[in-house]
Amino acid sequence: MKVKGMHCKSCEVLLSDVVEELGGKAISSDFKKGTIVAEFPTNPNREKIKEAFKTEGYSVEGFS
Amino acid sequence: MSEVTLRINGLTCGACERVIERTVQKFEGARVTSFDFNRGTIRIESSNKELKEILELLKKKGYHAWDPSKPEALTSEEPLDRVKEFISGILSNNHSFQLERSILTATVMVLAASLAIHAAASIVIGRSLLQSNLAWLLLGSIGIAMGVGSIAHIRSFGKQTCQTGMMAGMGIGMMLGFLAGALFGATSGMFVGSVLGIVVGMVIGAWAGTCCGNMGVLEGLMAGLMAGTMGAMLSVMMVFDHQLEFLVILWIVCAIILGGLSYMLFKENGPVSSELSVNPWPLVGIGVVLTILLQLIIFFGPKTAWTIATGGA
Repeated sequence: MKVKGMHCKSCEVLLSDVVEELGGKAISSDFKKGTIVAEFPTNPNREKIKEAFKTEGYSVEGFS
Repeated sequence: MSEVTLRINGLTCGACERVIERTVQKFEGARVTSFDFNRGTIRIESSNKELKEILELLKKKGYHAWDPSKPEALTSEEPLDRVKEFISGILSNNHSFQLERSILTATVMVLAASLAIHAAASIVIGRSLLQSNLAWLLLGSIGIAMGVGSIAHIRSFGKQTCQTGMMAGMGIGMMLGFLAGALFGATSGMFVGSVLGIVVGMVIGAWAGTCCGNMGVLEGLMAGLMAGTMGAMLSVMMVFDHQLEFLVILWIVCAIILGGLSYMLFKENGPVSSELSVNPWPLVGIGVVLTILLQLIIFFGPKTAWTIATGGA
């Protein structure tokens, strides 16, 4: 997914943490490109992910 | 439940704050009560048993936190005894001082390499030029080794808090500005000495200061300007009055201050020293390049006003 607002390594750690709390696993993230690749066991609720990222101050721009 | 103040490494932005908060909150009843970015400290409320696990988990996330009232490596109450502990810790094989020991080794290697370059130069360009400049070349080599070692120490820690970073920028800018200004003031005159002193002091001081940002960079720039000109001034003013003796004193004082800077870095960054070390070979490479530059400037660089009038240094 494409995420807006990541500017450093800590942001990556933070968002990986959020993904884990939602039951997923962050495979890789790149703050320079603003991307996170995450794996979820079942099809994730995208609205829920958006909401959780938003509370931390980041916005999801799109899923791929 | 009790509340402790901890020093923490790597606390630089809002995201760090959130990561730390979330990590601590994973433990029942534990919470972060305050953050202090300038000091690099946090306050955590938790049970004593949990605190250990919290620190472990924070470390896994890349934040090394510790209780500054219970330093792991320096245990003495007396400040002077702590300094002694620091020195003997580096010289002995104590794991807590791994980084500092590797820096010291690298510094000695840089010095050795620099002296070897002088020996090689005496073969290439003849002994007389080298002999007449021997004192300056030796002082230059010692200065290069001290500078390379100090900067390697600062750079190995990454981001620093404001106070530490400003001290690093100012300390490095001022000491290296002094060394370069005084040395080239003696070999090449007031103008060349001042300009080179300013360049070395300001550029390297600013670079050392980047470990905390704007303030460190500014400290480095100001200190470099001041010491670069001052160093050259002292050298030239003492040309007929124990110039070399004074430079030796200046070098010793600078070495003590740079050693103090390393001690401060160790104290501020605490336990991470046992996890880091430097590879000496790139530093030796830098030392060799700087030594060659030093020779070029002393042997073939421009000499201004007084050196020509008095027939050279």
